[in-house]
Amino acid sequence: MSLSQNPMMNAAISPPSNAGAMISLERASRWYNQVIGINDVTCKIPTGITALLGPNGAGKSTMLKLITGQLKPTTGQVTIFGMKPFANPNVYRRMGYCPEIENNYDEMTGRQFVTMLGAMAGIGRNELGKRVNDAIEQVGMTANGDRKIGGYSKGMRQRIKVAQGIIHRPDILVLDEPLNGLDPIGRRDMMNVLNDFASEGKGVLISSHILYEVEQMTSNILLMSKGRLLAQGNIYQIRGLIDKHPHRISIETNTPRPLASLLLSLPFILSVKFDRENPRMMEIETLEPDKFYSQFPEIIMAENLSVDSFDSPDNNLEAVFKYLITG
Amino acid sequence: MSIARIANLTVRYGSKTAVNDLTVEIPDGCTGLLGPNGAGKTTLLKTLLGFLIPTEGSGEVLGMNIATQGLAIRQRIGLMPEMDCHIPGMNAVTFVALSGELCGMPSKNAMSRAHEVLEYCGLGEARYRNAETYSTGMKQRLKLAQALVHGPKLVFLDEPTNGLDPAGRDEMLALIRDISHGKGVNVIVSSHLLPDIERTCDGVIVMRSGRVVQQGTITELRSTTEVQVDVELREPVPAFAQRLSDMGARPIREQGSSYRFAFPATLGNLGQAVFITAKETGAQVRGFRPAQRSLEDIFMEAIE
Amino acid sequence: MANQQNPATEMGASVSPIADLTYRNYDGPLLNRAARWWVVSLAVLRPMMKNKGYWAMGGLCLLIYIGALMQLYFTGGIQDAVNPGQIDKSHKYASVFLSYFGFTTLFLYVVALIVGAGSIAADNKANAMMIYLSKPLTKGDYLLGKWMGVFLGIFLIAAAPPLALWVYCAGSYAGQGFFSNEPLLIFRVLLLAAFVSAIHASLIVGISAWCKAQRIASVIYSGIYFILGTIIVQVSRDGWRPAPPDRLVQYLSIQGCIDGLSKLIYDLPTSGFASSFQRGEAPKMPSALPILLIAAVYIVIGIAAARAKIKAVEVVKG
Repeated sequence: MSLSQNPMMNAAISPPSNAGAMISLERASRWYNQVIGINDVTCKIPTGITALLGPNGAGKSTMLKLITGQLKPTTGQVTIFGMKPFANPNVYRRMGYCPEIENNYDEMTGRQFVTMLGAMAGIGRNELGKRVNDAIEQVGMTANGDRKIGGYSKGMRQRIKVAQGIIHRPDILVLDEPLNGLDPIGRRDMMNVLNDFASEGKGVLISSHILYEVEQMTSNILLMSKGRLLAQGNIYQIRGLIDKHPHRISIETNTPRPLASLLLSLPFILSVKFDRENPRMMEIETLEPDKFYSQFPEIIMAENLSVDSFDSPDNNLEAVFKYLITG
Repeated sequence: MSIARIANLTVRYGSKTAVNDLTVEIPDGCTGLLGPNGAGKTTLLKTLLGFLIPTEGSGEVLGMNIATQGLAIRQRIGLMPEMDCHIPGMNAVTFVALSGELCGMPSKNAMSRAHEVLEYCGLGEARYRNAETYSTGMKQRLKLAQALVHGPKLVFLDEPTNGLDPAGRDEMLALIRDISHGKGVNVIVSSHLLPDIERTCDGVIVMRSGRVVQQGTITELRSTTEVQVDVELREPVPAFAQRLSDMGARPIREQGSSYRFAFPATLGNLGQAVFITAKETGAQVRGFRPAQRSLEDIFMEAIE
Repeated sequence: MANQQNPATEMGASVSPIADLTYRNYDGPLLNRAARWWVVSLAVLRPMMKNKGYWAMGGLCLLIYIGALMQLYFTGGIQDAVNPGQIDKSHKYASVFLSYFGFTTLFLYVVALIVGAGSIAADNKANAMMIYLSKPLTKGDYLLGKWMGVFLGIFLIAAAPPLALWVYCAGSYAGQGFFSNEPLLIFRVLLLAAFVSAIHASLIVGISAWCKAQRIASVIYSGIYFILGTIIVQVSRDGWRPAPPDRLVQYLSIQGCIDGLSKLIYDLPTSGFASSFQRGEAPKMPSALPILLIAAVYIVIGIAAARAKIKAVEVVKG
């Protein structure tokens, strides 16, 4: 089945709730001369955490630049809170942005850096100090705020970047690869910071390569591929749609042969294969996993067989995306 | 058999102690080196390469002393550094061939070997291009190629999947897995991405503040003491979890639509119990397997 | 090993008929480590051979010595054409070489920039140090390799054009006592080229090691070269007249030092052209030791600066 017939986009057009949409793109495209950055993207990004995924060169950065108003769409529209973001300070006032690039203010302390950017954001002198303290506390950098950025670890740098992004109390925070290069502790702390921010009813849009991290943060995703929006919405919903394609499930049991003959009698089982090394393992292939999953327990219970484990190697975000992107 | 052995190693940079009284034995095969930033992983790697003269203690790599035989050690190991790096002003084959020549390979051998290794690392036609024009993924492959060109017995990989997209990561991990299994190369991988380590390594060493706080094979570390089961549902069903815990199972974790429970022995056939509960609560079971502790659990436990 | 499981047993062969074309170990020959620095030098020299600017400078230097050749050709050998009566016959051709060398000093400085400014700076920028030093290579091997590469690059341009002139003279004026009067001339040519190359190579490598871009290194070296040069010329001159050759202050700058070395090596107090304008008493030779000392200081400073910067590990501040 080719992608053009793929039902994925239908799911995309009706995401679960549009009520909280803060950012919306309407047939937005952006070219760089002849090179296409993103192509005809329509989507709405609600409050809460949304992850922007896709391989290198899929158009993620272009998308973020359009949303943060650094680029203007060649055709189509981008709106944030009903306004066009390109070179629009009214939008910037309500949006925080953490670029992927490392800043070079190594000689400043974290506090000075945040203060400087806060002042640039137009926060009044009398309020600035308190805001800086709040922002630094929110990202858990109070203890290290007065050290020079040059001596920061990657995690601290990321957090100070977030502090700079939330200093003006935006409603949307856009982050490009915020977890890149963080150690597991830094990653967990960063996830907590972002979760806290999102739990106040605000929007967070992050781009990421690391799918298992995304899985831990949100189930709401946008998947880009070759400049186009390939899928958007809830991961479970997307996974459900993929079920229409051949699906592998491996089963470990004490009674592989009797179970196999039972399964083979089911019309929707395509094949049963025994593992070469482990005689207790087998792998089945089915075109209708939904049917399989709903009937499998019945069979087991009716025949009083025992199953030690069963799962699908395709059953994670990574496999889902590999499938979607490679087609 | 061990490929490296460190005894009571202390390394100081000026007044800062990076590694403190470290004793560790690194087994052959593929070993993951984990730890938060500043735990001393990089210092340990540099010490093993013979770059740093330890303040105290001793160590050997492939049977050679780290304090006195740095050159001999570097002859037999390869390093894939964390940061972007290449020798400027030349295309990728020339660069990799030069890396080989720096290890003493005659230039003809180095050149043919460079082509071979670049092909293996998946750089194909791009090898005739200058490394400055490479994407992150290609740079990572190139760094791996230059580390392998002289046929090392041990390779250090520092954050090999940093900045790669999912497909690039898969390929890099497959390469690492391949060289470290059945090709006679031992590998030490240092990474922050624990699932990467889980997929490639046989054993792990967890460091914190310059000390080893956990070490073992992944299989050994991941086994749980009680019977734990991971149940994967099609979508989150709170009633399912509630019902199972009413039956005596102890919920351990819930993430999206996957649940982990500890089961008391009294519950009988686990599969049956899970299936029955699912049926009663209208949940569709998508997967069901004995739980293993994830490397993340092991890691967090070790460093806290 | 991957393909040992299923040998083609009936053939008695120990290898599988299907080759494993994935990764294999390298067990070919390895060269002696003593030659390792030479690999680094070659890596400096190879791209240089493709650099048009480098060959352009070489061409200009050659053109200058062709000028000398024309002068000799049209005046029919040295005779007394250059400066009648002032130079004894054991230094006649030397005075030509010295004069024309003076015209090439600026080009040699440009060659030094082309060859040397990026030698280590480009490595710093690309983090190549990590690659070099993770190989069985010491800091000394690396530095020697870089230095030698730069040195040879400059030396080629400093030595080849005057050698060409020398070959012409040897062919044309052997009958006029070219060999018998000045047997050491070829060694003087090579020695001067070596000294000049060594000073430039050491300084530019030293500066390059502290920079992250070829351009920055070029700017810094040019700054030192010209500003110091101008100051020294101002300090040492006699009103509007240039300093007499025996005034040592003038040899403190880089070009001053090179100038002094050329006088020492050709054993002449002034170049042929300068002396023809000089009146009054004959100029005195500068004393050798101070000039050699200045040259040595430049070479040592350059190498020491590079050595201090090249490290396998960057020590984390903390």
